[in-house]
Amino acid sequence: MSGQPLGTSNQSTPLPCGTIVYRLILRNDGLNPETNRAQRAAFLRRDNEEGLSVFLRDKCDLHEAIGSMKKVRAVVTLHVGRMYDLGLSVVPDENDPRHAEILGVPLPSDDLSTALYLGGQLAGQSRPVWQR
Amino acid sequence: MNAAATPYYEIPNCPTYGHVVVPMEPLLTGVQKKAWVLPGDYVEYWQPRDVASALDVDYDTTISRVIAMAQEEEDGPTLHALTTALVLLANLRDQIDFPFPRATASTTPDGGIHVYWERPGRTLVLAVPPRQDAAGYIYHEDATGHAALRDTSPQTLVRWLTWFAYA
Repeated sequence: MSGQPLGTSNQSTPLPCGTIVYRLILRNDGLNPETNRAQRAAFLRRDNEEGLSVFLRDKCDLHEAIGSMKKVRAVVTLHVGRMYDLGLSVVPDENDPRHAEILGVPLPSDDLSTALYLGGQLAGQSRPVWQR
Repeated sequence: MNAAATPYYEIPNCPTYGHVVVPMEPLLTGVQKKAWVLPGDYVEYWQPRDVASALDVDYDTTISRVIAMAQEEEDGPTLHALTTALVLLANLRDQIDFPFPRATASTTPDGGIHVYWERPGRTLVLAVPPRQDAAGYIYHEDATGHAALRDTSPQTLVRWLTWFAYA
């Protein structure tokens, strides 16, 4: 999933703990073929991303989120408060009220251990809501 | 035809780099016309007895998953990552004295490969780099913590896979 280019996301007030967000999974290998649940690969940051891109469930219909990308393999939900428990922050994108960024996940090239750990935690917390 | 005369097999339909030829010798066991095919003139190498005695479904599944990533149309692993992962897994299988644990796999954003062994309370990841000048890692995680080791030597891989298998 593509996040915002570096420097463009909003660093403003974090979202309320009760917020639910959608994370789009674009590749087959973002899902564990044994369980059909998200695996940590779906939560690794790309070099050109400041954070992990998500959509706010209250502001964006599920099918609108799916339609925002060319090829979506699955969609999972995450609870913002549980991400705060991991030490992450989730901030709204001031350029797109439907969109937010999960901040605090390091690039694998900078800190592979933390990136994989947090990826595993996020995958474990996620709940599947749609699959192609 | 004998083994020495047929040291390669071919993985077809890898969009990024066409067909891939990989050393065959360490990858013989468990391969049975599933995710890849052999060149036609190597057919007689595959006598039923050769495969049946060494069939390993979990290893075969793992290898198939790694190869499937190279057959995706977009953002597949680099050729270096693919061949390195296949050889590391084949060598690993040859060196352990317990059943090969089934793993899943993914392509990383930079074209590397992650191979995941996961069970409740214990995770092991083999991180294969996209390029020869980048480092590979072994990541391990359990209730006591997590760490990534910059070492994918055969001895280290065997040690950590044993740690995983005997959780």
